[in-house]
Parts: sequence; structure tokens; C-alpha cells
Amino acid sequence: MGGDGVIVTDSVLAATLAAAGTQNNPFLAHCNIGATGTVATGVGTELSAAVNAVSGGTYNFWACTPNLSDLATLNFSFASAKTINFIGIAAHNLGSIGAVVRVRYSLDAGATYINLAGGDITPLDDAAIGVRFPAVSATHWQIRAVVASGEDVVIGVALLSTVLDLPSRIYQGYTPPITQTRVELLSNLSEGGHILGTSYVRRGSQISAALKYLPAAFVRGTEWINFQRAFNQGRPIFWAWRPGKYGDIFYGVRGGNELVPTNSGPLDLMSATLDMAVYDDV
Amino acid sequence: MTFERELVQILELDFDFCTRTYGAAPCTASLSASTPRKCFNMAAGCQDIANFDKGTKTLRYARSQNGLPKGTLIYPALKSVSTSPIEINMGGLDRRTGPLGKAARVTVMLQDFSDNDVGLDPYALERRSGAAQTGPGYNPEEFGTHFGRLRARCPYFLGRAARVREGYAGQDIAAMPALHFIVTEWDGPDHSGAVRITLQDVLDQARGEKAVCPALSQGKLDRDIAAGGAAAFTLVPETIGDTYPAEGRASIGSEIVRFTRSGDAVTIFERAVDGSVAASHAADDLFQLCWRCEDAPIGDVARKLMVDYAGIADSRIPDAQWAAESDWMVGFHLTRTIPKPVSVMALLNELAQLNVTWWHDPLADEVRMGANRPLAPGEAAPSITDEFDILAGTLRREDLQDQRLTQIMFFHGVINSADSPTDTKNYRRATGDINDGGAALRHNQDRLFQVHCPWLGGGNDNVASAVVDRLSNRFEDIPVRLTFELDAARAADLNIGDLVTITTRAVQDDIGAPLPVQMQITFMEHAKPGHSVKMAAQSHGFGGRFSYFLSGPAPDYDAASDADRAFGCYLIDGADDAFDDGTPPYSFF
Repeated sequence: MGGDGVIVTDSVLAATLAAAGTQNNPFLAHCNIGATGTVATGVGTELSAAVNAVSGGTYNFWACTPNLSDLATLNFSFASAKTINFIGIAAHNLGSIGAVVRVRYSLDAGATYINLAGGDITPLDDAAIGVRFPAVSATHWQIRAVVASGEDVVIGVALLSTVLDLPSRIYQGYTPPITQTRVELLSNLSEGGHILGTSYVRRGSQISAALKYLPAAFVRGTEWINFQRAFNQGRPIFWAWRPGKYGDIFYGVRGGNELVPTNSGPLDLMSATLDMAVYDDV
Repeated sequence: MTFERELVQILELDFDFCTRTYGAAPCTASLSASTPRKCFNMAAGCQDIANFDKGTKTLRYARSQNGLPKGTLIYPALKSVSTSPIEINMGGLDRRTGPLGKAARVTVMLQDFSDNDVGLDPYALERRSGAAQTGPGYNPEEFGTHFGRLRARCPYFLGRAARVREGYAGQDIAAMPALHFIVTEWDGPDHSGAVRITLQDVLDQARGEKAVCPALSQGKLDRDIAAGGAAAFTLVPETIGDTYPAEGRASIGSEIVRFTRSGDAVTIFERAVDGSVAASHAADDLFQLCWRCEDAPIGDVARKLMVDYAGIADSRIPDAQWAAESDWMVGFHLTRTIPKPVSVMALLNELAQLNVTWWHDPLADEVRMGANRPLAPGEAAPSITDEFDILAGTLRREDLQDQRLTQIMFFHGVINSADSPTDTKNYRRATGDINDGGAALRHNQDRLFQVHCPWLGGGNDNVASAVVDRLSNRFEDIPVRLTFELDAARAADLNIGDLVTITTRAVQDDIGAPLPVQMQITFMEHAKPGHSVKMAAQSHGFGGRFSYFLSGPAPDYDAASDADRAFGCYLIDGADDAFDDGTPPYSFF
């Protein structure tokens, strides 16, 4: 129980990050660009509205029965081209139903689509999926699922965004939620001391990430300020703490104090703590 | 499964929801200056109510937790569910509640939230595009909140069905056990977004402010009537006579009369019936139709009150279960005239004094009947022990001093049906019993109990004796009440009213060994839904050995099998106090 997700990085981007030595720097994505356009079911029979996938909530969802070719697509279209370098998927059943997923874009208004990042993605479970790629500007985007089992596709969150790469990696002190960290346990013992049963309630996970050595210019830059404002106001984000090494990626919201960078002293470097409650139902 | 249970609790609320599509035939609604936006497929705001086709929309709410089924819209807005469960009051001796016991009351707290409205508004996407209104499109997520909108669109929520499902992750929602209730109150959202919804069991529909028997009549006399003698008059207003039967009983003031009717013309052919006193009456006096039962089995009377007057669906009455309990009340036939509207709950409370009770089983969504009775021959009383069953630290014992009885006075044979049914002076008969509980070498103190029963017509000593004997038998000693919790799996087969045998150190014999005690479950609360159940049981106290009279040939006692001896009763010489095998004589019930 519990899954840490999968991060798929386009090979060109991966090489660029490795060359810069930043492949293990944390990144986050918070811009819900999909909500600014039109989202609709492309192929398949819609069971629950596509717009739910961009609502931000994990409780409402796009649900679709694949067509006779086992195909279901979720299409995004925009009046003008949008520059995107990340697509995140959470609160889904793609692993459970054995789906093969592709993320794609179109430069000809949806007539043909171009695959992004490492081609087919076959998630092993229903943990969050993050796909990183060099920025592309297009008016049409698509999440495509082939489901051999023919079972309904359910996606609660589909986030089209740009990525905010953090300038420093996290070296120690981070507790990755390998399984859910918020699990309430109830145990029943009889008066005679016999163990009768146990029950539990999982409430996702809690993450606390200490971000250190943030240059002042970075913290005062537009990207960080936009993120800080959105995060403090409760906008959900995708978060990956060591993306080059682990597939840990989670979708969550602020789950503690406000994100407030503090001057750490030397070289005007700043530090901040990212407290998050993350969706973690696998 | 008793380990690694992942608990899930889901609140379901049912709402009336039109099955049609706005503006599609036969719905004639259309956007206009006077109807600038489409409806929400609920009755309030419907623009073509004649073509409203009632279906049901079920909204689901759960706590913010993992394990909820994906693919089903469940709003994570549930904050808490607190329950004040049903508690039966067999014999009507617990003065903290009415004779019918305590009804279930569930308080649900929810937190309002912003929502894209897709799950609630069939035209949510058209609100965005503008197709659903004459004005420009808008994003519903940026206007109002889920419960704020729901309350506005559906002001008619009282009496609607609600369920609290308690299951485990991985279960289909439909397979999760459901506790059935009806919505009786809704408050909020308040300034902090808190919403409180109160649910109660269906017997709430029998409460005084909701159901009376008989229903208030609308006809009045058109003239004065002298005291005594036949009389004829016309009912006003015109055609109101159609709401009366062709023949029956009615009350005018405090007099009960018998009448025939044709159209609005009424002829009174018998005055001062059912012990009432003839009197003169004036024009415009109410001509109130009486409700009367004659020699009717108690179960039939209760059923009629619940179904005909409290609006409880007949399907909620389990025929087989009522029939089995009725076997313990053979001959409990009732005769009574009720001259003026009385709360149905008050009438059921009176019936409950005849050693019977009714309660709503929320799991089965049935109204069950239970007689005050011993274990039936061959009926098992499941064993509960503190060694293996009762959860550590949950056992409490209470001795119910105020429910011990030594003298019972049962008044019956009502003199005047139009007078007070609780006034001793209005009864011509009394049946009593004095047991040994108050003797000098026992409690040395009497406890008296009076029952006023207006349901036995001119009096019925057989029924009265049966009621008195059963009360005397069961409550001669101080009843013991145990409260404790069981694991949910252990409690799954138990229900309110069940007889069980409890062995616990809280009840010991004179050498200190745990004493198995036969008890009746009077209360069950899903303390931690799916995990543990809190319950109360009261000592049953029916001393004796009960079996059936056999209708056919049977072996002698010495040749009979254990099963024969358990099922059929044998007579013993009055001089003996035991059979040859040392077992005690049988008891009559």
C-alpha cells in the first residue's frame, strides 16, 4: 500500500540536466494551464466530465469507457499556443487497469499528435505520474490511454504546467513517504487479553521539505513568487524531491505553515520549509 | 476479516431529481426574460412543474481519507457522524424514556467547499459556455459553494432518505452495510462553512407534531342538537360529507355517537356510546370522526397506526418477524374508540405497556416488534464473554434499582372513552400481582407500578393477567444493565432485542465465579463504525423452564430425548419439586 509514483524524463532533457549536475534537484509544478482552455473527451465514451480532471480536486474525475480499440483520450485545446514542459497525472486508476499511457501534443490543431517523453508509459500502480520534457508550445495536447482490459479510465488530476526547478538539491533530513505517513490504527483486545481485530484509516501522507541555499535572486524571481503565492493560497502542486534517482512524485497542497523563506545568513542565501499534505492512495 | 480493515464511512443523501432534460419534450421550459437560466432539475426552480418527472439523485460524502472507490463521485466533506442510537424499553419501566424507548438520532457534520458543480448541476458545462442562461458564461467554481447552492436548489429535504454506509476499502458501495434514516433537520452552511444535518429513524414520523390518529375532521354541524335522542343534521361546508364513511362513530364535544351518512346528511342513531355522556351541541361544533378497533390483534393495530397514520411504508414491516413475536401475544386483542386526534407516538407508547415494543432496525430498514418473553424452546442465546468478546476497558455494570417491581396494578376496562385514559377513576377493573421481591427477608421494600390501559374495551382479565405476570416475573429482582463494546465482526450477527448469555466477572455467583446471565440487548451503537460496536444488555430475569404444549403423541418424560424435553413440556406431580433427572418443573407463560 502506498506508492511513490513514476517520473518520466525526456532523454534530451535528462542529458541536459545531467550535464548541469541538476538532475537530482527537486522540482515542482503548480500552473494548471489546462484549466484555462477547453478540456474534453476525445476518444471513448465519457462517463464523467473531462473538466473534472482540471478542477484540482482528487475526488471528482474524468471517467471514460475506451472505444472498441481500447483507446481513450483526454484532449486539451487552447485558443493560443501554450508553452508546457510538464504533465502530471494523479488520483487515477491507470496502473490498476493496466493502461499504457502516452502524452502528446499537436501542431496541426489536433489532426496529428506527436508523442512526448519516453513514449509509452506503463504505470505499475496508481501513484502519481510526472512527465518532464523540453518546453513545447502548442495549442492542442492529449493524454492517451490504451486499456487492453477495456476497463473504464479514471483520472482525477491532469495538470499541464511549467516546472519550477529548485537551485539546490536536498541532501539530508527529508522523509520520503514510502508508504502513507498518516495512518490511524485501532486495535481491539478482549478483557481476557485476546487480540480480536485491527482497523485503520489512511489519510494520505505529510511531507516536510527543508529547502536550503536558495539564492536571494531566485526567491525574489517571478517564478518563485508566483509559486509561493499560489501555494500559500492552497493551490495544489506536483512535487518531486530527487527526480533523477527516485520516482517519488506526489500531488498535494499546503499542509502546515505558510511558505515563508528566511534569510540564512551567508551570501544572502535563503531557506524555506515546504509543508504539504499529499494525496497518496495507491 | 478482522485484521487490517480499512474503514470507510459514507453518507448518502437522496434528493428528488427530474429525469428530463431542460427544454426537451415533454419539458416545455425555455430561456426567456422571465426565466433567464436553466433549472437545476430539482423541484424548486422547475419551470415546467407539470412535467417534472421525479427520480432520485444520491449525493455521497466521506471523510477526507484514502480507500474510497475511484470512479464514484464522493465529496470529501464529511467531518463527523455522531449517533444517539435506538434504545428499547421493554416493559416500559425506564422512566428516562417513553415506554417505546429512545429513537435513533444521528448528527452529521459536513464542511462546505468550492466545487465545479459538475456532479450536481446537469448543465454545469453550459453555465461555462453561456448556453444555460441568457447572460454570459461563468465558472460555477468561482460562485458560491457546494452546500450553499444545494440548500438553495433543494429546500425540500425533510423526510428524504439518508443512509450512513459503514464498510471497508475495496467493497462496492452497494455492498457496504447501510444504516437507514430520514432527514429531519438541516442547518447551515454557517459563517465557517459548517453544515449540520440531523437524521432520525422512520418512527420519527409517528411523533406528535407529525402524525395523529384519527385525522382531524373538517365537517361541522349546521344546527343545534338537543341532548339525547336521535338527531339529524347537515354537514358543512358543502360536500365535506364525502370525507366521512357511510356509517361510523364520531365525537361531538365529549359525546361519542354512532351515525349513518348520505351526502352531507347525517343521522345520529345512537347517542352517548362508549361510556360517553349525552349532551346538547351547537351549530358549528366539530363533527369529529372517531378511530375504532374491535377485537383486533395488537400487531394489526400497531401496523394500522404506523402505516395509515404515520405514513411508514408497509414494506418496512417484516411480516414473518411480527408473526413470530405475535405468537407470544395470542389473545392480545384490542378494542378501543379514540374520539379526538391523538399523537400516534402516544398511542404506540400506550400499546408498549402491554409488554411489547417496536423499534426501527436501521440496518434492515424495518420496524421490528418484540414481545417481553423468555427464550423460545430451541432458541439459542449467543454467548458473550469477557474472556473472548468484550473489549478491554469497556465493561460497565449498572443496577437498575428503579426498575425492580414488587406490586403491579393494571387498570383496564375504560369507563368513558372520551375521558382521560390516564385517570384511574376512568377504569372499572384492575388486575394486580404482588411478588416476593418486597418480602422482609428479601428487599424488604416494595416498588409499585401502575399501568392504565384503555385498549382492552370493557376489560380483559386474561390479557391483563398475562401482562402483570410477565412484568412480575421479569422484574422481581433488580435488573442489571451491562454496557460494553465488541469487535465489529463479533457484533455483526447481533441485533437489538436479541437474547444473549453473558459471562463476565462483573456478574459473579456466591463463590466469585463468573455467572452466565441471560440478557436482552437493548441498545447498539456503532461506536467506531466497522471496528467496534457499543451495546447495552439488560438482565432478562425470566426464571423457569418454558416449553410448548404438545399437540400430538409424545414419549413419556423418562423415554424422551433431550430435544423432546426442550421442545415440549411435561407435567409433574404437585408434591414433587423435580423430575427424576433432577431438572425442575416447567413453567406456564
